[in-house]
Amino acid sequence: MEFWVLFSEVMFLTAYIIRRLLILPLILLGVTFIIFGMMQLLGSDKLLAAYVNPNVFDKLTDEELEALKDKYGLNDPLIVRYGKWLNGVLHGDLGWSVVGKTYVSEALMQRIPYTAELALYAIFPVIGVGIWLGIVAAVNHDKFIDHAIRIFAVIGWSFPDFVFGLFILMIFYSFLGWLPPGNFSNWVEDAIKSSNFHYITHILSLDALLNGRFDIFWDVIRHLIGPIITISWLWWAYLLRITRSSMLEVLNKEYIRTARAKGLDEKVVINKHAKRNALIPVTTVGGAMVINLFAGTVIVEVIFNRVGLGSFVAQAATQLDYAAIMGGALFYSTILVVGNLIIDILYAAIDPRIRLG
Amino acid sequence: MRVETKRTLKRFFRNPSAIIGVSILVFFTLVAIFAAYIAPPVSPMDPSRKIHDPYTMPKITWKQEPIPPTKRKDAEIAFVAKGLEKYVRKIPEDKLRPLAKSIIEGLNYEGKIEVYAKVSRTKTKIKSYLKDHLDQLKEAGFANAENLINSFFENDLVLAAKRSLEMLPEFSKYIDNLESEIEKFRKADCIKVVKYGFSKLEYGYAMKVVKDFTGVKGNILDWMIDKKLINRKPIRCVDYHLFGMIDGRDIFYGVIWGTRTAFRIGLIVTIISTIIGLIIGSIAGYYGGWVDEVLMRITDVFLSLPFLVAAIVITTILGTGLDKVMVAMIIFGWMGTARLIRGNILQVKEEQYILAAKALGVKDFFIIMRHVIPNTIFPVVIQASMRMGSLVITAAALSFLGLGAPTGYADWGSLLNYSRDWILGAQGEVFKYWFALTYPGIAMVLFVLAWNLLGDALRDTFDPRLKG
Repeated sequence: MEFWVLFSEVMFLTAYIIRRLLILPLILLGVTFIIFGMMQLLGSDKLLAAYVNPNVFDKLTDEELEALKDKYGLNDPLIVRYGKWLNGVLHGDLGWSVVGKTYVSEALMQRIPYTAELALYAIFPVIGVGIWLGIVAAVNHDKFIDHAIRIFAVIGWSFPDFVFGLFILMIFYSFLGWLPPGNFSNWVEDAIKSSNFHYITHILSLDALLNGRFDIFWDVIRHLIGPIITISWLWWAYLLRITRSSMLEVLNKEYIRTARAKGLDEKVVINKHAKRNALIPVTTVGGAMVINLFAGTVIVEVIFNRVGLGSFVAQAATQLDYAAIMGGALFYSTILVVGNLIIDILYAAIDPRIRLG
Repeated sequence: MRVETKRTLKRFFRNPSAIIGVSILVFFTLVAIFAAYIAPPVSPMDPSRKIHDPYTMPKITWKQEPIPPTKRKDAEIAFVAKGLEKYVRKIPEDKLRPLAKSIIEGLNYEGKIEVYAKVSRTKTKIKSYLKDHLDQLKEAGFANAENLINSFFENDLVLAAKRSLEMLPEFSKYIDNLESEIEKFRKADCIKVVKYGFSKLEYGYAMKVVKDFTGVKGNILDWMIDKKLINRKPIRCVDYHLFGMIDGRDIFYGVIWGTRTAFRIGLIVTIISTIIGLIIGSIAGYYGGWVDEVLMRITDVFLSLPFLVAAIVITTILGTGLDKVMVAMIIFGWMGTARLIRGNILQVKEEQYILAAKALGVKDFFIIMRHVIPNTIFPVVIQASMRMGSLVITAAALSFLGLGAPTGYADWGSLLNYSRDWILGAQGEVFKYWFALTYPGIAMVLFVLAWNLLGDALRDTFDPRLKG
């Protein structure tokens, strides 16, 4: 009997995963179509810039321009172009980036590790501190510490990240000189370009550790602290609000009262009984947050003058490098879609109610 | 109904968040309504002239490309020379006038203003000129001529100006005037303009200040001000500009008129995107089946582009401008509402009164409008008020990246964009330009805070289950 219950559980979960996996390509197709459709609003002249250096345009006659457009298929019907473009995207061909001075796919590959590094390091303080603050607030409901944390949350949630980041730079870089902007110091650049330095993971801080260069590791981390604080600030506020309300709801449940009535230690009640159940809804938010950390890096990277995906997209946007913007947007949305899928599946595995809904 | 409304309002305003949020919003609303009176849209150089478009922050521009002097003392000397000229012109045509004129000419290095570009020797020239003519000056009644010479070497321009006036007994009445003028500048921290000359001009209003001070039109400044610097640098001169200046524009003006921009962006985008979300969500929720499936997959597709990235993509395609930013935010802003309303409708749909209405043969449209929407609208309203804040942040973020409002538009994000280059301060004065970041920053934080508090309070009032 036990076995059959477990079996049906697994079957349900598998069915859910399969359903979601079938929808995934459809959504990705929709995303590509939206991005492609938006690109078509530009007109063929601007689209040609993705293939040909736009500086050459002035020297060409109209016939030559038309010939070029024909060559790259810009005069074809929409659906044909979409098919060709999609084919190119699937083969990693996203066009030429003026800003990156290389192919878009290559430019993205160069910058993704930096953004991934930032997002990876940001996850731990964001989730850890956010949940901790939320639990502390809920446990001390309506006491001073609860009010203080709530005020912190509402102010943090209202603070635009670019204002906060600029204040961080002003105080910790300009005044105290602790947290410099950029990805690393100048001397690190020489060090990592030398032949002694081996790239293993392409995430610089990890590579530095694997190469045994603790000075480089520390320098990279030092450049990461400012952006991480800026990102965390907003998400702390968000996460702690959700944790707090979820925790409060659980603390009012019957089984908590029962546990307390049994004379259980308050610590055990909080940690074993309340926390576990309260954190279920937090998982979804936490997961969505990890994905959004990627997207949220645009502003932070611009403020802290970092090389990365976000600053690349922002730079491409100001210089009207359409191919790069589209490539970046496509990458961001792929991360979002795939990441959301993984989280939904994990969530379904944790909470059986979801699968049926 | 009235009793219940009263009770709800009472409960709403017992909430401290509601009180703070509503009062900040009332304040901002008043600021937005009376913007034209708080920060009149007039030309900063000529207050009698109205500016054409009040949403474009007026900018002080310099017509002529200036030649910056190599040494600041040369600028000071030029300043004194011009200042003196004004008074000398009033001297009656007797033996004093040619002499005074010759002093001016001496100060002007024999009238050749162009020389200021390369006048490292000017001071010596003047010194020797004045020394040569010392006796002559004394004879003519310039009792304090020596003091004048000395004051040049003390580099105290105010003193020099004052003493030069003292030299001419008939014009002693101007001294009182001068004292009060100097006091005014000192109070406004504008004394630097006078004292350190214009080689690194600190104030966008220098032209006006100098005009007030000497009556000379600013043409001499045209040569001396580093135009590129003055047009961009944050400037603080509290008497003339409460919040200082940046990029040749008044920050106070930008903050006041930026309130209108913020309200406009927030309200238009929130209302339109909420309506779109309501329509799509209620159709999907009410009809269910394949309609629901298709609409929700479309929602998923739109949700799979990060909001900021999507807004960046659209604004780069449509071009910059506030209207385009709003379009971008509407296109990618309706999904949250749609999902919320769909979920609520799925719950409400099963209720008895909907079934009753259906059994009575009421048309779908009326069921949705009469029964479904009123029972599901509150969460949407709460969500919309929470979204107001984040929408304003996103719009400002786009302006901050240089993709939103056009250059010089009265918008908090643009002001912050200007201040970005100056947060590192000046040599030795780290927080020199703090005002450029702080004032627009505070305005924005308060605005967003108010909407968030309002949303919180609404939620607590109408949906006590979610209280937290």
